[in-house]
Amino acid sequence: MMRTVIFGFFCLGVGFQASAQNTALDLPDAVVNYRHDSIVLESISEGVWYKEYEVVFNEIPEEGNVYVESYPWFQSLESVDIQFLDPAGKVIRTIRRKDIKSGNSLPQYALFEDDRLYTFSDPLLQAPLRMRVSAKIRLEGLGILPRWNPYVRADWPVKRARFEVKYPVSETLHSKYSPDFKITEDRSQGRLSCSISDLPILDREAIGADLGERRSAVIIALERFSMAGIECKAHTWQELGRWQYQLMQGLDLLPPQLRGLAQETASAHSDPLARARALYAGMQQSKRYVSIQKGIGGYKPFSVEEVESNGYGDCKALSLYMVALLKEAGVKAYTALILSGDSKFTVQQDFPSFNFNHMIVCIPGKDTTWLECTSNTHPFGYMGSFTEGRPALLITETGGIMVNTPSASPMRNTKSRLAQLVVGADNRLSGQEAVLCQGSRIELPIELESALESDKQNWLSEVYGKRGFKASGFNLDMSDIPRFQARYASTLAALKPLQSAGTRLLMPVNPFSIIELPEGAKNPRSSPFLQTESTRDLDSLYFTLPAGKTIKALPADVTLQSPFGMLTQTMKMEEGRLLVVQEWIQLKGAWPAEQWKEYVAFLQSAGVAAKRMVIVE
Amino acid sequence: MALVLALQVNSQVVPFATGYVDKADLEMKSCPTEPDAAAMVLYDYGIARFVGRTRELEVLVRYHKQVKVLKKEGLAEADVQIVLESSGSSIERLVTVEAVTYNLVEGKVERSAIKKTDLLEQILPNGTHVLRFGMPNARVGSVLEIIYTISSPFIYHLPSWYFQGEYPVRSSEYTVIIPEYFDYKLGTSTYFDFSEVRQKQVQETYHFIELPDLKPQALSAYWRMENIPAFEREAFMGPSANYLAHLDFELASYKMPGAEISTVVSGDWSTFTKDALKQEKLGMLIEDSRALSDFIQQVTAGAITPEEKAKAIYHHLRSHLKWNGVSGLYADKKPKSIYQDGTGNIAELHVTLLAMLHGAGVEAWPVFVNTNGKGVNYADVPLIGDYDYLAVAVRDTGGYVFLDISDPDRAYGTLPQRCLGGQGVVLAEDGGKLVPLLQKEKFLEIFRAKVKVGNFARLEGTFTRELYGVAAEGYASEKEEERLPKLGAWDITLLQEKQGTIDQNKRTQEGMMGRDIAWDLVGDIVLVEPLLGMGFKENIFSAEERIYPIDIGFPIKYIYQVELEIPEGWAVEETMAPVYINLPGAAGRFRFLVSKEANTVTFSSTLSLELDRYGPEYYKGLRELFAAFVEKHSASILLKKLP
Repeated sequence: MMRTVIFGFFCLGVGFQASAQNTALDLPDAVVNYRHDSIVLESISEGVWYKEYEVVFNEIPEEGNVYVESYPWFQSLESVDIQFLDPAGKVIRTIRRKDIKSGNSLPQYALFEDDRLYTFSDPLLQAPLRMRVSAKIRLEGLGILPRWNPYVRADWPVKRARFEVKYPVSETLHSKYSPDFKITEDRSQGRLSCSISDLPILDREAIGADLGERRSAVIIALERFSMAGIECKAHTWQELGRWQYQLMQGLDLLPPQLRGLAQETASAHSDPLARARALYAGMQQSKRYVSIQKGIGGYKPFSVEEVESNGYGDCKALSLYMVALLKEAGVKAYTALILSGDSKFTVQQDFPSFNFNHMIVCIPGKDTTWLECTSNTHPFGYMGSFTEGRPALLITETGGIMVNTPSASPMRNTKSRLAQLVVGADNRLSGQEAVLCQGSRIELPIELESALESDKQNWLSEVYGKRGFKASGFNLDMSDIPRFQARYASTLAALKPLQSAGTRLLMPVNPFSIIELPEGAKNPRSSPFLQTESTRDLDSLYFTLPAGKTIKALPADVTLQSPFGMLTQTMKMEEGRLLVVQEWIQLKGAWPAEQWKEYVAFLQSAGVAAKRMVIVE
Repeated sequence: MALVLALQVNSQVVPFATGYVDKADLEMKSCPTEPDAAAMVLYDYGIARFVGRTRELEVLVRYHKQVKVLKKEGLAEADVQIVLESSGSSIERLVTVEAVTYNLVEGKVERSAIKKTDLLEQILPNGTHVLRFGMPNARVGSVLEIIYTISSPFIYHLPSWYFQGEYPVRSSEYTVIIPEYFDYKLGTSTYFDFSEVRQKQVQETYHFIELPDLKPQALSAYWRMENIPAFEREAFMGPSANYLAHLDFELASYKMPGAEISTVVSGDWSTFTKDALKQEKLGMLIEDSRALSDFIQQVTAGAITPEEKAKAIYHHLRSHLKWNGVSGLYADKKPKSIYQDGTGNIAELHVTLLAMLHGAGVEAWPVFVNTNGKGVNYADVPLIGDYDYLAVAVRDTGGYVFLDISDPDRAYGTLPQRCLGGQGVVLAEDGGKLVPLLQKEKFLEIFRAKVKVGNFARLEGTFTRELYGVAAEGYASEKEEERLPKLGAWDITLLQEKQGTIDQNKRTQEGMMGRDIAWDLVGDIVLVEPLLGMGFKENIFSAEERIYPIDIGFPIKYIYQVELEIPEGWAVEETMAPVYINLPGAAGRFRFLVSKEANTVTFSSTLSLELDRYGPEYYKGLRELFAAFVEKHSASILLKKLP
C-alpha cells in the first residue's frame, strides 16, 4: 500500500492517539488556546507554511514529549521557536530549531518511509505549563495540499483556530470546507481565510469513522501545480491522472525476458482474460509485496525492471509491472489509484486531489476485472472489502478517469453452513458440518489454506471451542476458488453434554451463532458508526434426537428487521429431525450517532434469539 | 559479491567459506524437528574480536546467517534490518554487508544478491542508524544468506548472543576473542544444553594508524548449540529475554599495555556494591540529608520507632514528589533540589527518600532493579547493564520491606508490577545481596453477590467487590468501563467506590446488577451462570507441556461468592458438583462449593496460587486447576418456574 500522503500534511504524526475518557469534571491533558496557520503559495511549485499555536498543558505527555511532528519528504521544517511560559505568562525557556531532534520515523509495517520526524522532549517539564510554537515549513511540491484541520492533537480541545492562504492572483485556488468554518475569500487579493472555535476533544469510538474523518477540515488545491518537475494543468481528475501517468512514464519498460514471457503467453491463449489470468498467476508465484514509500510522497513506483530484478515491489510497482506485462500481451489494462481498507477519509469526488493510499489494476471490458497485485493468494479478479464499492482513478494515456469499483451484495458475501447433528446417548451433540464461503467470505479459507498448522489448530480450537465443540478432520476445498467460492467441512463433537433438567434436555437452537455487542455498546455515542461490508450467514441445522425423545418446547420463529440488517430463525420438524434455519444479514452502511441505541438493541435481540434453547424430553 | 561500504574485513576473521548453500536445504520442504515452522535458521554464526583503529581498539563483529523459508509467514525474514547504535559522537559502523537469496530453479541453484542501491538507510531522531533491505527474489523455499560486519567503539558490553529465537535453529555458534587487556564477566542463560564449549589461548595482532602494533595473548572462547526449538511465548512469562538461551558480556576490568594495575570496572557483588555506593550520583547523595533536616523533623514529628518514621517520610514524599516517568539508577541533582523541585526521575525520587530515611536514623538501602526486560539477573555475575531502576529497601523483621514512591496512591511496602518477579540487588555496605522482589501483598480479589429472581422475569441483586494489593493497582487511572467487574450479559450500576487505607492498596466497589431473562426462558426453564463467567474465560495454559517456569510475579487469590435467592414459585432444577484441586506442597488450590440453606443457594469459588514462580513440574497441575476453574465459572444451573 502506499502511504496516504495527505494525512501527514496538516496533522501531527502522533496526533491520533485515543484520548483518555474525560468526564465532565476531568481536565483534558492539554488545551489549545489558539492555532493560527498561514500558507503562502509563492508559485505553482513552492510555498511556505507558517504555523503558530499555544497549548496549555494540565498534564505533561509521557517523558516530556511536548513537541512531536512529522512531515513527508516534500515538507521540511526550516525554523521553529518554542517558548515555555509559567502560569503567570512569564517566558521561562526558549527552544530553537537546533534543539529539536529530527530523523526518520521507523515504520512498523513498511520496510521504508521517507517521512521526517521532529521531536522535543524534556522529562523535567512540569504542568501547568504553556507552550507557544512558531514554525516555518518549506513546501516543495504543491500537488498534495489538501486538508487543514484545526486540531494539534485529537485529545487536545481547541479554543480558536484560524487558517489563511495567500496565493498568486494569477492562479486559482479551489477550496472545500466543513460548514462549521467561517470563511472569507478575496480572490482579487489572492486570500482565503477560515476560522473556527470551541472544538471539543474527539474520542475514538468503536466501529466509527477514523478521527481524521470526523474533524472539521478545509481542503485546498491550486488549479495548476508543479511537482517532481511535472505540471498539472487543471484541477480535474483527468489532469491529476495525467500527472500520475507522466510520473510513471518510462518506468514500465519491459526487459527482454519479460517481453518474451508476455508474447509467449499471448500466443498460448487467445482469450485476453486467459492471458491476464496466466500472467497474474506468474506474478503471484514469483513476486512478493514489500511496502517501500520512497519517491514523490509514495506516488512514484519502482520500475518494472527493478521489480523483476528484486522479486518484490510495493502496490504501485507491482501494479505497473502487471499492466506492462498485460499491454505487451495485448490486453488493455490500467493502473488505478484507490483509497483502500476501512476508509479513513472518503474520496471527495467533486474535489480532485491525491487522496489515495493504494494502487490496483483494471482490465476494462464487458465484465471489467480488477486485480489486487499485492496478494500472493487472492484468486484472479478478487477484490474483497478492501477495495470494492468505492471510487478509483484510472490512470490512462489521456489522463485520469474516475470510476467506481463494483459493490458486493450481502447475498454475494455469504457463508452457508449445513450441519447434521445427533444427540447421542451421552446427551452430547455430534455430527458433521459443511460450509460454503462466497464473495468476501473466502478470505478466511484463503488465510487458513496458507496458515501454519499450529495457527490452523488454534483457530479451530478457539472458534469451535467457543461454540462448545471440538472439530476434527478439518478439510478445506479450494477447487472452486476461481469462482470466489471455497468449502470446508469437519466432524464435530460437543465438549460437554447438553444441560439437563430431570428428564429434560436443553438444546441450543443454533450453537454456531454468536452475535456480540461492539465495544462501548452501552455508552452514549457521539459520532456516526458504520458497517464496512454487507454479509450474510445462512445456517441450516438438522438435529436428530435420541430414540424415545421428542421436542417438548420449541421457541417461536423470529424475524428481526432493522436498517442495519435482519435476523430470521425458523424451526420445523422434517422427516423426524428438527430443522433450524437462521439467516443473519448485516448491511454495509453508515448511520448517525442518534441510531446507536437502536443498533445496539437490534444486536442484543439478535444475540438473544440466536442463543435460545429447545426443550427435549 | 560482498558489498564493501567502508573497509574490507581481514579475511582471517572468517572461519569458513561463504556463499555455499546445501542443495538438500533448498529441497527441504519442512523443518525436520518442527514441521509447522515457517522458517528455520540453518546456521547462525557470530564472531566478536578486537581490531586496532587510530589509537584505540574497537570490537569487530561478523554475523553470518542462513535461513530457510518454509512457509509464507517465514518471508518476514526476507525483510532485513540492521541497527547501528550511537552515543554522542561515537557510532557503530556497518563495515560490510552481503546478502544472497538462493532458489532452486529447474534443479539448478539460482543466486540473487543485493545491490548497494537496495540498502535503505534511516536515521532516527536519537541518532540510531537503521539499515533495511529486502532480500531479492525471496519466496517460499528460498535459502537466505546474510553476512555483515559491524565495527563498534562500545567495548563495555560485547554483543550478546542469542542461540534461540522465533524459528527453530539447526546450529548456532558464537566465538569471542578477547585480548589479555580485558576481563569480561560472562552471563549464561539457557534451558538447553550446549553442544560444545571450548576455549584456547591465541595470539592476536592489532595494527593502529598512530601507534605501533600490539601482539597480545588472547582468549578465544567458543559456544555452540544445535537443534534448539523455536521460542513461543506462553501465559505467565516475563520478558522473552529471560527465557531465551543466550550469553551476555560485561567488562569487569582492564589493564592496558604498560599499566601496572588493572582498572576495575565492575567485579563481584562486594565490589559492585562498593563501586555503586561510591558513585557521586548515588552513594554520596543518599547521605546528603543535612540540608533536609528541617523537613525531616517536621515530617517525622511524633514518630518514635524506625518503622513509624519510615512510614511518615514515605507518606509525605509519595505525594510531595512527582515521578517524571524516567527510569534510572543515578540522580543528577542533590536531594534538597529534588525536594524543592518536587519532581525527578526514579533515582532522584528514591535518592531523596533514602537521604530522608538516613537523616531520620532509619536503616535503608538502594535497590537496583531490572524493569526493562533485558534479561535475567545472573546470581553469580553482577552485570550493571541488567539494572535500570532504583528502588528502596528498609529493614523489617526477617528481611526487607521495599518502597517505591512513583505513584502517590501506592501503599507502604509495595512495589509496582514492573519491578516484580525477578531479583534485585540491595546495596548494603557489607556487600550486595541479590534478593527476590516479591510483593508483600497478594493479588486478591473478593467478589460477593446476592441475586434473586425479581419481577418481570428479571434477575437482580447487589454486589461488593474488593481488590487488594496488585489487584488494586493502576485502578485509579483506568476508565470507569475498565474498572467494572466483567459480568457478561448483566447490567451493572456502580453505587460506590472507595480507596483503601494508607497502608494498604485496596479498592472496593458496591453496585447493583440485573439481567432480563424473559428471552432466555424456554418453556418454564431458564439457564443461569451463577458465577457469571467471572475470572478467566478460557484455560490460559493451552500447551500440553512447558519447558520454562511460570512467572506470575506475586501470589494470587480470587474469591467469588454468589448467593442466589430462589423465590416462591421457582426451583433449582439442577445444580453443580463440588471441586477440590490442590497443587503439591500447598502451592495452590481451587475450591468450588455449592451449599443450600432455606431458599438460598450459595456458590463459592476460590482460586489461590501461593507462589510467585512455579517450576515446569507444576505445569500439569496448574493446567488442570485452571481448566476446572474455567469450567465451573462458565457452567449454568437450571432455574425452573413451578406451575
